[in-house]
Amino acid sequence: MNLTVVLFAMLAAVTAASAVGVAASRSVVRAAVWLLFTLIGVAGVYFLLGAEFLGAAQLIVYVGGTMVLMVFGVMITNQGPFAVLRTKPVEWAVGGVLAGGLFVLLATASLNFVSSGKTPDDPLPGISPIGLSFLGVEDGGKSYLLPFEVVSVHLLVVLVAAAYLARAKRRVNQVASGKEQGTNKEDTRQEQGVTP
Amino acid sequence: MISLWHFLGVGAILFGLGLVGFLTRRNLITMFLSAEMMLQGVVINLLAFGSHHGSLGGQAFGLFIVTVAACEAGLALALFLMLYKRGRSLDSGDWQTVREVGVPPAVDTVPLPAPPPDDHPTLPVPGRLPEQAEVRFQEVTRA
Amino acid sequence: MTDWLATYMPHWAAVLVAAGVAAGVLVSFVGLAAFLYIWGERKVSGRIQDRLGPTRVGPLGLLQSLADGIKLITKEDTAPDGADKFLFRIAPYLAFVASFAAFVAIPFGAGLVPQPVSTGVFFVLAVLSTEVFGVMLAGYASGSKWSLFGGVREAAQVVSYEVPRSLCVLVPVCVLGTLDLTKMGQQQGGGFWNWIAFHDPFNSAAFVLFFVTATAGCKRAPFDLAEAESELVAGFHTEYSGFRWSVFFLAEYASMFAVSGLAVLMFLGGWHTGFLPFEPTEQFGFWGGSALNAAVFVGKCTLLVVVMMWLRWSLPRLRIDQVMMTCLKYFLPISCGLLVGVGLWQLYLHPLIGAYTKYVLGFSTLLFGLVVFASLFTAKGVAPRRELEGVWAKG
Repeated sequence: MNLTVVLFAMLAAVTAASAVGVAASRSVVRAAVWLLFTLIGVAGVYFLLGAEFLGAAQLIVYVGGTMVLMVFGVMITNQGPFAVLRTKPVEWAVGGVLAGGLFVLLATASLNFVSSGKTPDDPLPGISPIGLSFLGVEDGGKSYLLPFEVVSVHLLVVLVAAAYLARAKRRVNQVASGKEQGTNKEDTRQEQGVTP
Repeated sequence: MISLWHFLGVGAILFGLGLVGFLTRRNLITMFLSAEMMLQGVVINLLAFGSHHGSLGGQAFGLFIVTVAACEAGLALALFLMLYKRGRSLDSGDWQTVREVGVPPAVDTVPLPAPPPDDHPTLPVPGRLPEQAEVRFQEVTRA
Repeated sequence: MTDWLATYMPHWAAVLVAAGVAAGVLVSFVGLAAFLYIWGERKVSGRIQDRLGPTRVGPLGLLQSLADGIKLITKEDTAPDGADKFLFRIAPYLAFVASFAAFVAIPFGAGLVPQPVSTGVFFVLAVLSTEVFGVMLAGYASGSKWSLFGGVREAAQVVSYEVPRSLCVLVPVCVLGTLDLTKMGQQQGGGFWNWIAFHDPFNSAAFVLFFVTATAGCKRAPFDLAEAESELVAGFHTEYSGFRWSVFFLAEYASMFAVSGLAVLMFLGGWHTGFLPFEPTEQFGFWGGSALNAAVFVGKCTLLVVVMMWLRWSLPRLRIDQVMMTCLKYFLPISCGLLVGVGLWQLYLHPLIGAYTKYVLGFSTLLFGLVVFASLFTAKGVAPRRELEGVWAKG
């Protein structure tokens, strides 16, 4: 019973409990908050596995970026103060049975790895080998230069696409009339409204 | 002592619960959140195996997955906003027009509640008197 | 300490007790810092506005924060009817835990760090970036329009400002070649010209930019759009009262201290005094040297926090579109340029003139500071006229 075991037990309990919260909560924002705790717990598991960089990246990308975006989306799209999700018992049964079966399968498969003997206590390679391998320096390991570049370009393309999809759209005739008169919709309305 | 399968177990729990959420929910955002949770289970698996073999691959692919998930979130949010602008709803059942060719539409046994009307308060047109005030103004002038 | 405790109890209990004690020390430090900073902020604002600030409670009004705290704790803790009660209750604690957890990786001296993290800078940035979630949640869960607006603004602002802030952090990392905050501090020992802010012009600019974006990241004025009291009542904490309200302020002051600490460690020489040519822990023993180091570090951080206060009471608040435009159109390209520039500097110019630049930059900054300081004494005081021109006709 050393510190790692205590920490792992706590983190795993927090992660699993808040994952149950995600699956069971009836409000979208609460599901997002439970997912936040799950993500923090998973980041803790990464730290425990020795992957400090990935844990911090998880915090900054998922918690600071993705979840904020999602809650932002919920704030914009929710009707009423708090939208409530409804689920039929049949759906619970089908989903539960499928997921339970999958979980049993995965658990039995992973239990087979017990015999391999090696404990995951060996320190992972630190951050500088990762950086070097991303830049294509083959220092006894593998080089991940091509996937790194592909992911970078992917990120850029997605950035452009998201900006294109979410841009403020105006109808064509409005744009045309706005260009001619040099005014936008509010201004024209205001002009029409001012009647003595 | 913690061994590999403890971590794999946590990953399997996350994946299973994410699957439950994905199958039972119909709100697009909640489905997305559940899918993210399944992804987390996968990354834990990758990292646990990477640390088990003492190799770099687990962390590298974990980083790639985190990057791709961030892309996915940005794109998903943009799509959600666009769908919401068109249909005022994020229920996946409302978007049956994008189903596959030759597949009959899924019909709910209990119809969905209609989306509430868009009742944002609107400001009166500036520079003109509000209507009630206008009426009163006319009455006054008539008298 | 763990070993000493382990003679009295089982090992895991000793570890937990030691962790609890360390956390307690940190929490009391953060609490005391917020206590004094709130007093300092009121004094600074008072002086800037030609007032006295708090004077009644204790000597110089030092106990004003204590009186306020007692008042806040005895207030009724209410939640509005339309609120999501659970989220409303946990939101302040989420914000506080995020900014408090950043202190785990910040070294207060050589080896004086709660938990050494090899990717310290990145960890602190990541943990601080999660503070926005508590604020957003508070805005959403209050069920009030003002709070919601505050939360949405905070989300947009903080997520945008994270990008130039992280890019500015990369500039000194390029020079120092490590993400470990302790190693960063150790590399800047000796004279103050060894501080990274004076290493090259790009790092000096990066320091200024980092400080500005960090101010925005802490939602301090002139970027306090989330609580813009002239527009949004009190923004995200409109509906909060009592203890939960004060927790938001603890979080704000804690994150101010944390980002100042980051700036000091990366740019301003960390715990080094700037004129002692040796490492104090090696000369005065670990505890004596660490006391000096911690005092210097806290002093430097406090200086930066006071500059933040000075900015708050001097500049008017920006509009939300101006805030976003400043970030995306100016800070982001500038920080990218700085990153490229420092790379080129390290490759080509540093071998040529790197040895002289630090002296030039360091001593010219010192000289400039001294001139400004001296001008305070030599400048002729302009006594305000008793009568405003043109108001009263002289008869």
